[in-house]
Amino acid sequence: MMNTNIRKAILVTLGLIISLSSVLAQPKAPPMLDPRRFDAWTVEYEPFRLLIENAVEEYITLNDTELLPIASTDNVIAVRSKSGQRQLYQIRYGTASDGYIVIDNMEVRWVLGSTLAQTISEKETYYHLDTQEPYETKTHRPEVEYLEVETFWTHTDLQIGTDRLVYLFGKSGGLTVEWGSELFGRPYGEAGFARFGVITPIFKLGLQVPSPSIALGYRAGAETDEYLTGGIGGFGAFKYKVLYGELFFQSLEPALAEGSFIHSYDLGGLMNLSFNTTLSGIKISEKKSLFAGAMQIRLGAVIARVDHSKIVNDRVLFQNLKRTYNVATGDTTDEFKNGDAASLEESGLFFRVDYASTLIGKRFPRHEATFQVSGPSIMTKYVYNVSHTLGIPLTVLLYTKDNEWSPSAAILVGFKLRLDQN
Amino acid sequence: MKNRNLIALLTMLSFVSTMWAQSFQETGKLEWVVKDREFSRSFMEAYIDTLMTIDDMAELEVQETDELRVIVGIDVEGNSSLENIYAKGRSGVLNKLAKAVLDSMDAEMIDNIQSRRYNWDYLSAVDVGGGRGDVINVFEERSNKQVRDAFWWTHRRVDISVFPRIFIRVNPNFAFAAEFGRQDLGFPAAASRTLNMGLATEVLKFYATLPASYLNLNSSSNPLEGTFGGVLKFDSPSFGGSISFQDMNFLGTTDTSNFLSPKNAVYNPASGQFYYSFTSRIGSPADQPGFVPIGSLRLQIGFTFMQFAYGQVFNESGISDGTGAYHQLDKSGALESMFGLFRVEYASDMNNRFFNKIKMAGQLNMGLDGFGGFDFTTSYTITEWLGVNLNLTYFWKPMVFTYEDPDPTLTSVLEYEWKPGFFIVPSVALYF
Repeated sequence: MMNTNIRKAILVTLGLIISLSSVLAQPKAPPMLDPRRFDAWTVEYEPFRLLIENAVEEYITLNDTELLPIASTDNVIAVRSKSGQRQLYQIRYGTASDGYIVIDNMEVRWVLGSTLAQTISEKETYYHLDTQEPYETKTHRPEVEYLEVETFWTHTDLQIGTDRLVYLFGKSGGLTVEWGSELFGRPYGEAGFARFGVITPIFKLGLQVPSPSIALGYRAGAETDEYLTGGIGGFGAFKYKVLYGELFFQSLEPALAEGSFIHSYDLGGLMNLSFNTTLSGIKISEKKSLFAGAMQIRLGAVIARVDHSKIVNDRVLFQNLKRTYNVATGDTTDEFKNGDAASLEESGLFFRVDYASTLIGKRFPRHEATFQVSGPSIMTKYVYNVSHTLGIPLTVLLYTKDNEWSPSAAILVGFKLRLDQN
Repeated sequence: MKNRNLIALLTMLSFVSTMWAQSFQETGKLEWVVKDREFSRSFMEAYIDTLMTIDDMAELEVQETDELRVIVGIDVEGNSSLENIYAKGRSGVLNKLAKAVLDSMDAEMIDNIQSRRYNWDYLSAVDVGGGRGDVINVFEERSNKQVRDAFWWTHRRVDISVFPRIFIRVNPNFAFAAEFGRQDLGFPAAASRTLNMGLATEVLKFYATLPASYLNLNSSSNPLEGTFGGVLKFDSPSFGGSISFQDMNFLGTTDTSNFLSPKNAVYNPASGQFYYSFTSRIGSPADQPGFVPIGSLRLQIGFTFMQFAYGQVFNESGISDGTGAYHQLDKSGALESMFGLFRVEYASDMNNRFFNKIKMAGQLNMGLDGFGGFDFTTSYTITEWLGVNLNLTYFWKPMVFTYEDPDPTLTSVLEYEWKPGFFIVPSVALYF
């Protein structure tokens, strides 16, 4: 009965979101450059990027120009004409939030010099990433870029939150520590694991270890004291254009587990495609619009397997890894037998909508909201950003499957600090 | 009085420290060559005219067609001033333009040459000169793109190549890819009975793993068995890694009959890898003596976690006749699963027909428990579309698994010694 209601609620919400996005989505402005005529890419190879930075600085020194130096956080985009000599046509640098400075035509050669311009134009010989940036519309882009960046990577030098810590040691790399996995519907202590790894704007990779099972709030239902137990393993995830993928595995370490009957993630995978749109919102005054900002919709599938182990004298007596297991309805017992199979109940559809309100000072949105369905977990999250530095997230979780390792619902709170080096 | 002395002392100290600090602040110089022939000619014409005006008997050491080299000084506050201009004649002799003449020239002309708002080039680029490969190296940097393309990615539309592997690029960013085995873990093609296929980009690969086998010229070797699973690999110029899993539970009871050795099957349930890498230039150009053709050498140093699981296939009655489900009996411990990784990749520079003639890679996997192996791959590209490859892999020590006899009536502890052995895999590469 409860499941039917939830299903209805999801369908109604989905319908509302889709119709809202089509109504509020802004028409796209004409492209800035014709992608049929130009190739564009970001210069990712650090030495070449530094050479461009130096050349721009030299040009500024030698001339009375309005060009600004290239900041370490800027994207440096090279544009090449597809016709004729395939010469370098433009250099753009900046960010979507702050806008791009464009050096084009003859001035590119004046700034870079012949050899450097030729070298940069030969993108086939160095590390680069193709970009759509020069082809896209400028209007309302900062919010989209905020969602694109903050859902995986960050522009902040140091981000400390209850869900993750990211420390950047450059424009393209950093260290990350994550507690739980929001995308698997189990944020904070709900997943039983923490992650330590390296992160780049495109991928992250690292170790997975058991974490303390602490509820950052209130858990409701019959299994309020039951948690998933973490193990030792690894994780990897990528976000490449519209595609997101993630894999993890872990194996139970009896010495680090509490209790005799243990439920633990064994492996997990997630894949989804994303779609971004800007929202002009509903105008409520001359300067204010309700729900203005940007929205990101993701759709995919999640697979996660929970295995059941019995631990006796600090040794795993048995571990059930077979695939076809279902807990009988209403069965809340902890005990299971050798031969019971691991559960795939944590698998299913993945759907997520992220919303960010209009950026304040081109840096942060006051309001962020998320609605996510990840297998049996339905999550609603709201973040109130007091300032660029401090954000307060509030998460409501609802689990649609009755099993021994999940509460029925939970309300969790946290914090997010964003600190930039001066 | 004391206060006044103290203030005087502090003032003096601050003055001295400022002067001392200033004396150590660096000033810079910018040097370049004027490549705009028209601008260069008009500047030299103006210079010669001014020189003649000052002294019509002056001996002319420069010509209008000379190449100009400009040196601009940058002071501590970032202000620029013209230091010197040299004119280089056809004989290669550099003649310094007279300061007195430059000072007498039209100020706009001097501002123009100093502003660098014309076609110019770095001095080092001009002095090194030369071909395509040198264009990159005048900056004393080595792009690792070519060596990455040779092994991780491809610059071709279709690349059926080294490992063996198949890359079909559907657009510049994405490719469908298939790779036999896990060369990155030291178990290439024949050493791991898996086919990893899926999506590849320049930075990452996301594969599904399937059980498969590949030709091996040495029939006495014992490869890893394969099953279904997934792989996620990353690579950037400075670091990369991978994560993967396989699970025998995804196999049906009849699938196990395809195992090479159902009574003793070893597979890799999970792996993780992380490495740091950098690329250097190596070799000598074709017109200079040397054994190694000029190219890029990429080194990868890191660690691998690779778990090995040992099991047997037997049916519900416990009979090992090659059919039934896989039963895991033992798996490698944390120490046995850890490996030091050292990998070297070399690709000769692309020639004028846009292919790397020689590619080589060697990988050492040193297990902390003594188990380990060495993998070597070499590839020779004959023409734009055809190449030949050879892959050799050797494991120097067996891995021992200990398990209780699966027969419930017995309590004995048994051992299985897994010797992967030696693998030889030749292949042909096709490029389109």
